[in-house]
Amino acid sequence: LKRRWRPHVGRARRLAKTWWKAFRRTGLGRAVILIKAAITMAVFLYPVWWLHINVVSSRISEVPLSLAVSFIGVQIAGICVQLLASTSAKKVESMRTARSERLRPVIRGHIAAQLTGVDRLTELRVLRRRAIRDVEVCLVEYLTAIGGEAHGRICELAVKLDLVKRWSRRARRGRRDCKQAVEYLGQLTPDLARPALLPLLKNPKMAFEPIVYRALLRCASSEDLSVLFRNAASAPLSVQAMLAGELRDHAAVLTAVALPAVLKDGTPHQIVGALRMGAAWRCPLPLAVGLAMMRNHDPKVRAGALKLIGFNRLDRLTENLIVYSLDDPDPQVKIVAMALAGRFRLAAGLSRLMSLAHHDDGELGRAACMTLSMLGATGEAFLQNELVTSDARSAGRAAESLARLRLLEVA
Amino acid sequence: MLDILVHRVYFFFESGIIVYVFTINFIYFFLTLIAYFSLRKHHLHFTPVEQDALLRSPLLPALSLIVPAYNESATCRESVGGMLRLDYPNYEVVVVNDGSKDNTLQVLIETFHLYKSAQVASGTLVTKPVKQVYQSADPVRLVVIDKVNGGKADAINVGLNAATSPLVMVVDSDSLIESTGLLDMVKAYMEDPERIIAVGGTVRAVNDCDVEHGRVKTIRTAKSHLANFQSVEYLRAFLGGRVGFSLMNALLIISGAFGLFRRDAVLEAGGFDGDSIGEDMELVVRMHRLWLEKKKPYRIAYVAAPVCWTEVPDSLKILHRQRKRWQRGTVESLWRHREMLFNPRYGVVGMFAFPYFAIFEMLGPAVEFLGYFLTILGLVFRIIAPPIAILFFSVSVMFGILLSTSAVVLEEFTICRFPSWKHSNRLFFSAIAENFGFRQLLTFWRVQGLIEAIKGKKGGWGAMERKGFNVVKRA
Repeated sequence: LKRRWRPHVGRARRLAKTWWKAFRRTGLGRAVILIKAAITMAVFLYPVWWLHINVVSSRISEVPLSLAVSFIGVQIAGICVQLLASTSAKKVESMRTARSERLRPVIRGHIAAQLTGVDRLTELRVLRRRAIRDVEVCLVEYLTAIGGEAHGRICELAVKLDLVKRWSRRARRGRRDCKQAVEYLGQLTPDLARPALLPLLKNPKMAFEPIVYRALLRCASSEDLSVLFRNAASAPLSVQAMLAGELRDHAAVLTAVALPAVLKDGTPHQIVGALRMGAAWRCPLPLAVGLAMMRNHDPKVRAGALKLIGFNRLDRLTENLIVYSLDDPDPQVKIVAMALAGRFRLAAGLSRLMSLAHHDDGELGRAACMTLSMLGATGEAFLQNELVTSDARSAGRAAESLARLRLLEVA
Repeated sequence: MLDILVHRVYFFFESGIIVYVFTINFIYFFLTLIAYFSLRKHHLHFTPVEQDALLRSPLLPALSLIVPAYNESATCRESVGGMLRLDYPNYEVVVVNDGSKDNTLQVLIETFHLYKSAQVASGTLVTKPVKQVYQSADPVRLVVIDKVNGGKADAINVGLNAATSPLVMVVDSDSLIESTGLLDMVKAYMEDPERIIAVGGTVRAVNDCDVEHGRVKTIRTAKSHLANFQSVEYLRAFLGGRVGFSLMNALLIISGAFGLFRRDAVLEAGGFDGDSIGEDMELVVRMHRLWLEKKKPYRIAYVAAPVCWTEVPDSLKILHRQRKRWQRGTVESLWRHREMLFNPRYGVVGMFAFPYFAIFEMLGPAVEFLGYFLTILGLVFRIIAPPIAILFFSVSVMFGILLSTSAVVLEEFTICRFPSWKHSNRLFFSAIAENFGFRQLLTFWRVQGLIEAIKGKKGGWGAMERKGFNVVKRA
């Protein structure tokens, strides 16, 4: 019986895990916010009840009136609290700024002295207790400004002041100031930064924060790069966009090792992400891999792969693949194929493009006309002919494409 | 006997109104609390380093800014100039002059050195004819389309036809976008590009702020109380309501002054409705409806950080006209999609957001007005005692003040665009003062709008007389 049920239990467990992951990603945060709002609402309403029972009802016998008076009292208190909070927040901020202006030169002086070999650890420890944020800021200023051996000494100082532990803790918690902590950690020497930063890739709150990748890239080994790339491929587009530039310096290594690995065994989402980053680096996709990708059922994968195939040198096989893709059932793939046909001026695709120019989907028709306008005399002649023989919609598309062609020529 | 009956009927209505007022205020308050926690969590997600990385990224999608304009000669120079100087690497500005009666087109031609282009704005959306397309001789991607007057929605549709990017942003021609506004909006879209079909941003009052080179240089409250009251109102609506609705994916309005849309999604929905007065709300409701009917996963999001500054009416006459128009737009949009009301097929939108808008936004002014009327009637005919009337009026007004001050505090603790004490104190004063007279006046105007909508009054452009921006000139 156990053996019979085992696969079902395993499947249910996997399903529950997937659901829980999805809920954590989208629903949990929302639920937490709703619960917090509900609790605050209750905290606001409870004093109304308390005032009504303990204070007002003894003076006003009618329950609705007593409740109304209590409610007004709480509302006035609420408004006053808000005004007070706003004023005090500004006051505290100005006081903090004034104190920082006073203390930071002192802290900087102590750190500079420490760097030159004078022992100022005791003074810095005292200052750390009094104004830890100012000590952090000053130390990081030195970390970013100084390199070489002195950089190592400042890192040592950060360890001695227990700041590295504090930053790791803050980064793990994933709260409001976690990004700052990660940024600080990223300034440390690789032997200190790497062990603190790598676990963050498994932390659901921090796994897709670009700042973690930026920090890690400063201290990553070549094996770490593959892990980073795989993680980045699963990240949202916004994160990938931020990382595309950062990872570009390592594009050669990544396209040789990490990209094929993700294309081989990644999830569809990862594959699309990896292809997208490859396109950002204009990395050509080997045709053998490209052909396999073009057989994928997911149109996003096919469109992404075709874009990368377009970075190859044009040969007979690539040309055939592009022309063949003009017949792809998905409009995304068709549009990429049309863009490539226009770029490579593929006369072989003319007949297909001509039929696409009359497509019911207006956008496809428009793209086909644009491509035809790039294909030289034959395409242009077709568009000229469309102006007089075709229906108003197709004629409009043709006119637009020809006008753009003229503009390009003038430019 | 009749006396008792009258009393009973009176108290039935009066109690109903009290329950109604409490419910609406509690919902507002709950939405404001949701907004507070949500903004605290999400607001600081974008550091300058990340912003820089994103700006340099080759994966940033191209964007077309669609700017419908009608009689905007006073502000179009500054606003279009500002739009051409935004921090975004890959975008074009498409200004659609909807047959302006003033010299808007001439101002644009002279300021931006436009020449007649052979380009034709063809596309899938059916619109009024285009007279001429102009392009800038300067190295900026500016297209100005002059067309036959057909209303704001028609002008936007022409812009949609002409747009060449996958993302379009609709911006009013009297508005100034913050330099990183586009990036903030696009970043929100890029969080989930498969599902997000539209993103809304915040609109705030620019009156009396210093403007230099099409950008807001110094942010301050307006000198006029009327503009400040509207500032508080905008804060309450955008930071309070919309964040809460966005969290539930039930946002029914994306302001026509500042909204990002996926072009293919708008085309799939059929574009903006030329017959509608509240074309922005109508499109968003229609998108919700279509996507829910097709059972396609989607999200319509709101982000608080990107701000679009717009001139708010400085005179009661124009404000009156604007509010009546907005109310007519709301009624019309809701009526057109009335099948969604309490329809479980449309999920949270059908069961919460739509009923909320129908019951509280559409009918709210009428109920509030009835409340004032019945209270006065009760006082005149001595059905209720003056202290009781004053007490319940105070509860309602105090709730209004609490909500307004909450919106101001929300702004201060999350976005914080008013750095000086002087301006935030003035805003606090407006948050309190607007509840004595201004709110009641708005209620009355909205009732007028409701009546006009029932009568079936139509409207074209909601044009207002512009004072122009407070432009700072360098010595």
